[in-house]
Amino acid sequence: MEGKICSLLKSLDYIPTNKIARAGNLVTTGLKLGGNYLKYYGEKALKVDGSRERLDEENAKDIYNSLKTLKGSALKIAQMLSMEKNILPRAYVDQFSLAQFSVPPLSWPLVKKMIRKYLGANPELVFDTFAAQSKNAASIGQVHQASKDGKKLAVKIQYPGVADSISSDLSIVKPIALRMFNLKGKDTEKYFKEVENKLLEETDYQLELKQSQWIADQCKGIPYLRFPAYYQEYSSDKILTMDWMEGLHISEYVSAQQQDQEMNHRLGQTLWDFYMFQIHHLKKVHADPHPGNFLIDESYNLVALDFGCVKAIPDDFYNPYFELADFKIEDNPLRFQEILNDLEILRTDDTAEEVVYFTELFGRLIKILTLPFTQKEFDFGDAVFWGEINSLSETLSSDQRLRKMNGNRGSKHFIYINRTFFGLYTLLNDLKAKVNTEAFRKYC
Amino acid sequence: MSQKKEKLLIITSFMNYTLENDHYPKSVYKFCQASNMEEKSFYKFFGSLDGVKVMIWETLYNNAMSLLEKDDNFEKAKPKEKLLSFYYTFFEVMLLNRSYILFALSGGEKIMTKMGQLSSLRKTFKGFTSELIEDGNVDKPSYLQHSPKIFSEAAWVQLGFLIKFWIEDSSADFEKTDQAIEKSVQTAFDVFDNTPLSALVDFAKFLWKEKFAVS
Repeated sequence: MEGKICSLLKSLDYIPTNKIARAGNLVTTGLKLGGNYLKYYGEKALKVDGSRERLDEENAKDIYNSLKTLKGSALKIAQMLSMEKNILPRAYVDQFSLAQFSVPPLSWPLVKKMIRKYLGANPELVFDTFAAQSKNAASIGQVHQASKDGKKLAVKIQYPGVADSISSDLSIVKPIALRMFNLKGKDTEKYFKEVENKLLEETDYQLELKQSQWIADQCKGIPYLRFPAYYQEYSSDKILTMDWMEGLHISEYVSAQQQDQEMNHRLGQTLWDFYMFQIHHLKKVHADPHPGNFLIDESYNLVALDFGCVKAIPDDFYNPYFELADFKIEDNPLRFQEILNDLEILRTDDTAEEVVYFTELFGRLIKILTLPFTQKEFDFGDAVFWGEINSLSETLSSDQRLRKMNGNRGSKHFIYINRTFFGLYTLLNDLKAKVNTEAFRKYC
Repeated sequence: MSQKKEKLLIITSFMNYTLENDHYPKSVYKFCQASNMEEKSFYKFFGSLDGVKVMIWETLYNNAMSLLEKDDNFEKAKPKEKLLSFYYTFFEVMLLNRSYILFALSGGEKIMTKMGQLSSLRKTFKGFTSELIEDGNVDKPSYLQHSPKIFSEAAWVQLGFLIKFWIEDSSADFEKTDQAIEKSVQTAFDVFDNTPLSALVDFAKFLWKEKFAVS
């Protein structure tokens, strides 16, 4: 991987912002995928073992190769997909995870110009030192190391034209998504609007600065949790300056040889408390829990980064959603259907068959996903729990009946809330953490 | 008043006059009357009004260059970085004078036909790029070397293209011009370095969207 990243670190700018370029990229992927499937069915006919896995791997590589040239919001979508480990095969996840770390950087003169434009002077005047080579690339910007008055800083610079390309990116993904999830009817727009608005918010670094400072301040009572300080005077709409944090990304940390399971439990507990405090107390949550957004420092503190994507949870979603957590469906099946109506899971135009089917399916889904809430202590390393999640996603992806039914259901808030829970559970599973599910209440 | 300042004052008055009256001064007499200046002091520096127009562009170039030379790293930079730095700085300087430039270069005619006032800029810019090309030639075998004459002319066409792009750019902060600079320089150096033309394709697509696609 090291070599691959190095070879990508040529100082060239390659943002195809336009629809044609992006569409072009996606079309190539489509063609190549077709080829891979052909190979798969060919090999399947000959009964070659392990060909399914090879297929996934080849597809993932092709998708990644075309996505990495997109940068911007399409890369963001790749990141979102990469978190849903249980929906996507492993091989996809590995390729997509690469997308979180490696994109070719902007040229140094452009970086200088942007600092000049937004902070008023050349980088070497604004800061004491400023590294010309970017340290890493985020999906919509790149990070440079700098220093000022003896403090190490991270300066995040947004790629020009990113905000501009979000709408055109989404209009390309839209028809694919409509077919993939079988969305029908008039109001499918609300899902795309939700994603578009959130992506646009992420391009506003002033907003990110405010959100970060607010959440850091609210969460200061939680032990073993750290946040970088943010510097308003060195930030603007497109530039965000914060403390440089030392540590390993969670993904790097869990793949390291030596691990202290006691410390992992503590890290997991911190992560859990951090999220539950946000969800139940702040009603606003860092909705981007992918491994690149958390560092673990040398004293096993958890460092939370990147508050570009903060999801506010309105009461009319929060109440029915968490009522389900303690709910015994068998006790009150009628109330259960009411809640499903509140969450827009059941539609007024559903057939009797659809009502029965979705009530049953969501009953199962919610039982599994809210299982951690029902117990005082929960072991996220539990293989049985993950086995159930896997078999459920198997059903979701292969059930022929589901394919035929209208997928345009569920409150728009599900998109980011489910993503948050999935991301959180996956990180906790990576840590094999055992957490006390109630401990967060003492911080509220 | 120093000679340099005096000259600069004439140039500034000329630009103000043009913008406020929506046309160039019709004669040196009229210009001097409006600016409270003796004709004698005008002719000390300029032979004609056209001479001022030329000097404006040369001043823009010199301002950009003197800004660049303040940066110690500029001398040490590679040709590609130097050219990128020049463009970004030049367009920042131009931005301060955008109104005048829009006036001077618009009016139905093509940029390249307004060459008269750009003649001195062309000469100095070609001198600058010739040096860059010669720097780039240093470690190359003779059959891979590029003619400074031909390639500096190409660079001039590129600058003309970028100015035109910038004039028509309506994006916030002229973000699109930044992208056009980054991509076109990348492309130029791909050609220059005989590397595969991936940046050319990217640049062509960018242009297609910005200039031809109906949105």
